[in-house]
Amino acid sequence: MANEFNKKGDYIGYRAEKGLNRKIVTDISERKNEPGWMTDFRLKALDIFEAKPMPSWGADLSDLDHHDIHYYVQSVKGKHSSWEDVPDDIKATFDKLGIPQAEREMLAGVGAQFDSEVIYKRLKDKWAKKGVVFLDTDSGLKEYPELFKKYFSTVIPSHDNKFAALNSAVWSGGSFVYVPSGVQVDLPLQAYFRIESSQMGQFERTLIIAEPKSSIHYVEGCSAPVSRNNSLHSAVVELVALPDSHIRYTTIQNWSSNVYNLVTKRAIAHERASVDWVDGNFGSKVTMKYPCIILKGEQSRGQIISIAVAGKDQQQDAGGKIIHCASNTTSNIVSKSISKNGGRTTYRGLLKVIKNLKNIVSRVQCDALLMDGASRTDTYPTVDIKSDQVDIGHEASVSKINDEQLVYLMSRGLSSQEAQAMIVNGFIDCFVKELPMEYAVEINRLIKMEMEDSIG
Amino acid sequence: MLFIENVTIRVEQKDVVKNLSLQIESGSLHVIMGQNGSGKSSLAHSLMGLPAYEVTSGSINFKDQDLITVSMQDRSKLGLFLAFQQPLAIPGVTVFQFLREIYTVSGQQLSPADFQELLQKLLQQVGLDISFLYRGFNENFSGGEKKRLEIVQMLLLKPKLIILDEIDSGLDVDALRSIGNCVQEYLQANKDASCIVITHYRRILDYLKPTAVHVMQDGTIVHSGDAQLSYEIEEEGYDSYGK
Repeated sequence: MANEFNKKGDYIGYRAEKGLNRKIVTDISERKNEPGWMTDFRLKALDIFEAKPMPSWGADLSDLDHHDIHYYVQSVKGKHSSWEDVPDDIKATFDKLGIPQAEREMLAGVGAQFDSEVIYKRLKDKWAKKGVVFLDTDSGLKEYPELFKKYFSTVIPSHDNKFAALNSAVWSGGSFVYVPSGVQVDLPLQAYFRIESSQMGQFERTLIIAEPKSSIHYVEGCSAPVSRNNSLHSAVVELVALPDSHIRYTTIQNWSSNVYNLVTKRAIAHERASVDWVDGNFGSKVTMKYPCIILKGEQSRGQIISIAVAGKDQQQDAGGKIIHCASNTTSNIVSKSISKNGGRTTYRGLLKVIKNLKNIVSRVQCDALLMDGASRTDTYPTVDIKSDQVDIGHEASVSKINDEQLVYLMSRGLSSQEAQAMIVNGFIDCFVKELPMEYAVEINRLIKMEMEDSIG
Repeated sequence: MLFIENVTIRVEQKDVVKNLSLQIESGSLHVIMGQNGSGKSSLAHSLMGLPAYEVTSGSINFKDQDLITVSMQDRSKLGLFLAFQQPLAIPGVTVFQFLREIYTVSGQQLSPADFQELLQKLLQQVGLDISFLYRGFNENFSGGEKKRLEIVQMLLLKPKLIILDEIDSGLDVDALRSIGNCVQEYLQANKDASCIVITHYRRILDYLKPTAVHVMQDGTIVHSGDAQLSYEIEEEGYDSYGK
């Protein structure tokens, strides 16, 4: 173990050595005082990670060196539930993101994760009194061991894919959310994830359980400062929507251009439950992310609405997966991508209907916008239908930015950047409409910044 | 206000306007009539600075400024406004958002509530229902609705020189009257503003008071006169004004 304290006794942080082995995994588990079953779970996942080959499809991961990453970094000690207690430099970073203000005004609760550990978590009393749980996932394991064990890794098993296995071995932080039966949380819960150290991996693990007739909207924002070296963000997010519940999960990520973002997100929707993934992907070097909904119960509904923006040297390989496993289920996928300055976007989707189902309705729409001739977009929609009574619609379009529209707008006094931003904002409007107001404003601002960057 | 001298305009290696001269005084309304392909829309586009139009000789001065070197976006800020023959749709952007943006970049400011009130007034003036504010900009609009929305933009930007490029094409009588009246009222209220009306037909002139009427053929002005000329063209056709 490295020095965690300076001579004066101040905490200066802990960082696991680079690379991954059984010792490092065991150390993480020990630091967290985990029960034996979790240590075993981690070690088993490590074996799976090492046994599985790198994916041979999708984005280019050849530059990602597994040995050149710190798999656990704790830069701040302790979890806080009062904003005043958070150390000043970290507070300044989050202040810029507007967290405390936002919490006061329009959220049911807020969490913040810095590198590997959650440093701040607070749920408003109103919801705590109703039995809602909003904790970092490590505390969830300690405080609700039975509930945790009942659902943890039931939606995404370690062997699902190489990066789910990696997360299972070294996971740290993330959110544990439990909404009791019949409780409708009408304000969003919000979590922020920040990678501050370079050459590190952030492996948060989020588990949301919505009991029957409950509802919850969870919003996560992700960011990282620009640094010279690659970092890895490899989260696992599991949603369990029990009968008649509703879960909406909104992500706005704006990673810096050296982050590999390889995330596994999946939901199970039981009878009459509905799940929405709203997924906004800006930044990162490579993103591979395909939020999935398994429609397990009859009359369940699933919706995946996403946008991806890829600029210079960026690859956004994203999409969505819906698996209909019960009759009378409906699904909807809307995917919008924008490629500029030689950036590359890929829509990769799966729509699957298993055997002997009735009354399946599904709509898939993916639209790509190319801002210049150097950029690229590809679409790989996989459709696998094994039942007859299905109503499936699939639409895909690729368009180049329309010069006549630009001319029209510029004749009204808009600059070329302003005109492009307006066209792009219109293109992603169906996504922006799904966001809480202040996020919608933020997205419009991000698009303007992206368009300014694309000049010259 | 606007001096066009011996201007030749080229599009895709072809001279579409040849050695044309025209002078527009402050407060005047000039009508340019002519057949398809006579170069009148090219002249309109070129005045606004659309990129496909290259002025290969001659000069264009607007308010003592060499217009040829000014970008399209700055021409708008100088007070030029072109109502397009076929206005474009901007899917996903509401009419309100669009109008708010062009109003802001023109350097004008109003509180959201006052701006809303202004738009209500302008939409009513051109005969568009207020619900149009929340529809996608020109998305699934009829020809007449698009043209009325061009006039809303004109009223919002308060231009010094209005160029109406076949604003009357595809309009029914009601829309024609409404648009004609709006333009005439604007010119009466803004005495220093001028207008160039480009058209095939005389009928919009029922609602406007032209200072001069010009006939354009094969890229240049072949005949000029007063309002009476438009009636003669209607009776005799353009052929009698050939060279």
